[in-house]
Amino acid sequence: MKLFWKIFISMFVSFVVIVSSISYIISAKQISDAEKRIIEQKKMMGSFLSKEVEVGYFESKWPFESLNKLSHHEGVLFWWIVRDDGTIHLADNASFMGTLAHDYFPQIAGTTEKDYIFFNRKQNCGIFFTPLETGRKKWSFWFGFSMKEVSDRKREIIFLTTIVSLCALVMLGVIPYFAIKHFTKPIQELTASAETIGKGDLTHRVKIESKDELAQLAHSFNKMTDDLQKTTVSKDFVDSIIESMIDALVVVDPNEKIITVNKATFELLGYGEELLGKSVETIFPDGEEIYLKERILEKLVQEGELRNFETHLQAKEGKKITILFNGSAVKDRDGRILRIVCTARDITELKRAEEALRDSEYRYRDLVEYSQYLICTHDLKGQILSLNQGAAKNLGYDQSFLLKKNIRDFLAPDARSGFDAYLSTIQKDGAAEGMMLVQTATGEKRVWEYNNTLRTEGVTEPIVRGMAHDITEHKQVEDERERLIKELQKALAEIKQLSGLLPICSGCKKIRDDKGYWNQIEEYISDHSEAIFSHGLCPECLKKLYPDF
Amino acid sequence: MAAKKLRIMSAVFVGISFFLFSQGYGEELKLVPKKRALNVSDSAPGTTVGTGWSTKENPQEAVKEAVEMALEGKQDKVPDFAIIFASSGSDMEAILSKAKGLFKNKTKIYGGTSDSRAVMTNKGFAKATDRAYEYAKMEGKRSLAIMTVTSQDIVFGVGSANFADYPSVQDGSKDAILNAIKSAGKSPKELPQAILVTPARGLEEEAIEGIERVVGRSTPILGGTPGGPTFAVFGENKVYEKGVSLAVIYTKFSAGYIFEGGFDVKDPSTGIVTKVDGQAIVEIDGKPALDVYDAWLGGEIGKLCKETVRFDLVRGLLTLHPLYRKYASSNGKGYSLFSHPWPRDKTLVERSVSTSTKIKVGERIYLSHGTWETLMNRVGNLPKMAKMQGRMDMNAKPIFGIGYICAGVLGTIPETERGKLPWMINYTNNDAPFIASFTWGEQGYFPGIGNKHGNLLTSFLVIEDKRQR
Repeated sequence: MKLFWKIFISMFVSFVVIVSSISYIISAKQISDAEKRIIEQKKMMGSFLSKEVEVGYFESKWPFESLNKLSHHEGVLFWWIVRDDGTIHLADNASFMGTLAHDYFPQIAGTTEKDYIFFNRKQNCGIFFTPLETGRKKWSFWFGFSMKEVSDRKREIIFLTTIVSLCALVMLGVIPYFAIKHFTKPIQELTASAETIGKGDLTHRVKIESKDELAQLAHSFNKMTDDLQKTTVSKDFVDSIIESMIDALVVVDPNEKIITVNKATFELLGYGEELLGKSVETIFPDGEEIYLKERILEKLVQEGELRNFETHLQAKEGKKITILFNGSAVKDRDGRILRIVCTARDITELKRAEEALRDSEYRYRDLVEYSQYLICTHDLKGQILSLNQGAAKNLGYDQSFLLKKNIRDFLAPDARSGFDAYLSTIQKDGAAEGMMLVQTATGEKRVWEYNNTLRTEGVTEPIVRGMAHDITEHKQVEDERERLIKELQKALAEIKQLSGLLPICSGCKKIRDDKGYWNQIEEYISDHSEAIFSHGLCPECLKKLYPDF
Repeated sequence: MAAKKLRIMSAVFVGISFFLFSQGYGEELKLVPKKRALNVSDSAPGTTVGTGWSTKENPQEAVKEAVEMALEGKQDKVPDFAIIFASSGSDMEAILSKAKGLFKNKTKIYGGTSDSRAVMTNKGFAKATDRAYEYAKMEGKRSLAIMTVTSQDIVFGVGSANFADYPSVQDGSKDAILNAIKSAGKSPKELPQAILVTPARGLEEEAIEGIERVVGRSTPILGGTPGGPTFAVFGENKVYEKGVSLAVIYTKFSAGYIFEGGFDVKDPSTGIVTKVDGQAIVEIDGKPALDVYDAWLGGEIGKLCKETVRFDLVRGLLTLHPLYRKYASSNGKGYSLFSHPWPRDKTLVERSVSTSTKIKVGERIYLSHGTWETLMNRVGNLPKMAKMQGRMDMNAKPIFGIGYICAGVLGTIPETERGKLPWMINYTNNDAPFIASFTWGEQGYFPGIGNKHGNLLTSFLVIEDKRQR
């Protein structure tokens, strides 16, 4: 409740109490006075009439005219002249004459008090009773009167008092209303300013024109704001940061209700402002409530924070979004959780990239691992950093065994001396190629042809990319080929003599040897080469020789 | 929030105010009359008196109801004597016929019409209508009262006469009294204690004269002219419009009676009647009677008729200021015989004053004054005055009372007050049974002077058994 209303209501209630009390006292007094006045009137009336009646009694001449006037007097209900035995001798209404007065008002039976007034508020009437001076026979005079006059007067008084009281209250309400409003206006402005500043607008200043304590307070407040502005990041700034965050921000209260979200959250989840006030479960996929509570919220509550927790959120349209969840609990001094601040980063693309990378790596790894080439990396000392299965298999060792081993150890002993030259070459030239003779676990020597390069970028220490292939068999084939070449060269030399010097008959195609004899071409070639002839017909000859075939 | 509290507070304040405002007193007192415990015990051994009344319009039903009321608790259902008064306009023949039937033709019946407004017994004021005169028939409201007497010590005789059957009213009346005496089993030489008479209107003096020819001037005659505007008296078997119904009472019991008006007779205004016309005074002291009367009243008649003639108001005024004649007995006691005056001409052009009494030329008349209050008190005190006249014990309960009260007097009493009359009479009559008719002329006895007819008077008879003292 505002201070204004507190003061106003307090004052107004006080006024109501005071005015009501005064009104009540005045009303009660006036009503009492009116009642007394009316009673006195009735007493006077009754007393006066009773004298007339007394005279009438003695003269046997009842004052009917006066009594008749009494009957018609406003508020008079009845009048009776009652005999000593209680019988109503005369009455305004003849129907009562001859009946017993005490049957109607037993309360008055036995009363001897003069000018006695009996009230019957239940029946809204009063009864005047007075014994008549009728000698030995004690007659009495009664008349009943309505209290309506009193009640009407009472209503009138209460009505007037109520109206006056209401007017007074209105006045007593209006004056303090404006007075309090005037005096509390600076406080309201201070409050409004505090709220504005509290919302982060540190440029706001309180405008107080008075010179009282409130002005001093305002001045202090403005000074405090100045200081704050100098030392505090404004809320707008924070809001801007929050709004500009790429990650979704969700602030949850201890009741797990969402109280703040940022623009990124709206964009991520597709919700609008309707998200505020809803349970945080809303943004988690269905069926993950237990997960949410046990894995996220409990952890947050227990540990105060939760970092890089990969989980899912559910967008408004139902899409499941993989996120990296970070959360922290904001606690008060007593350790009670005030807020839980959560950020969520959409890592769907990242996960996809990771997957792609993983696939790529796998493919490359597979390519390397299962390549026929012998691939490895080693440092500039020859220490093996990595190698593929092909290399390990080729060497006959387990792959893990070879790691951290030096290549030098696996060279054939007679080839190890050239390893330093190799290292020197590659360090110097950044590349080196050639063949190396390695010795497998079984002691077999195999020839590797390598073409290595030095990698200096992206690594802290240069490493050598090693790429080799086992050419042992190739080498052997090559050697064989060399041998064959030599043999062929020899044979070729022979084939060249034959073709260069052979005279052939242009008709029968016989070749004349060195001896001057004509030899069938097939015999000559077979005799002078390793060639063997098989005989057949070419299509032309076939056509020529066997036209019918 | 605050505004809500303020609204609640205002509502509470208004609510409290409204509550206080509405807080008055309870329902206004409404008293319902209790049933009266009437003292209906007989006042004399051997004498049984009963009274009853009815306001039923049907005459047979009315008679039946009233008779049943009168005879309630009585062993003898056929009384010796019955007085019946019925409001003017009632079917008197039917009433007589029914009563005779109920009483098996053995009961002597006396009576006639009362004023159209009411009859009265000790059991109450039986109102027929608030209006009088020509309205009675139109309204069709009726009332009837009866008093029955069965006694070993009181002998009644009844007689009647239809004046049309006689050469004069006096003759008819004489015949009627003789029949009554005969009916009582007495001889004309045996004078009754009292005679009750109901003579036709305008013929009252003649009727009294006829009766006095038989009983002399010392026998009290109490009676009343039948009430109007339609008049009737009971005969033995018939009803007469212009006749007389009378009853004689023979008893060793004491009789007390009163015949007076209750008006103030101190006004010095007086004059000699110098010209009459029947029951109308034409001149007083040689001047038009109404002018003299008006002068005596300080010009009140003129004031009432200043702009337009208001006959009803003038009649009302004059009812309370009747003329009277003075009578003095040999022992010096004075009596006033009132006459009810009203302008003979309703337009007041003709300045005579009707009186319903036959005032003779040369008689001195006086002006009196009254109020409804004095008249009402007078009615209430009738039994007391009668008992005083009869030197009876004031605390003794008479055997019965019979009253004739001027309808004019009744008219002056406000309607709301009329119901008090029987209860006032009951008190002074010590709750003894009585019956009273509202008459258009009254007859009574001035001791030492004789029987007279007048207006605005009351005549009351009480019979008391002094053995009960």
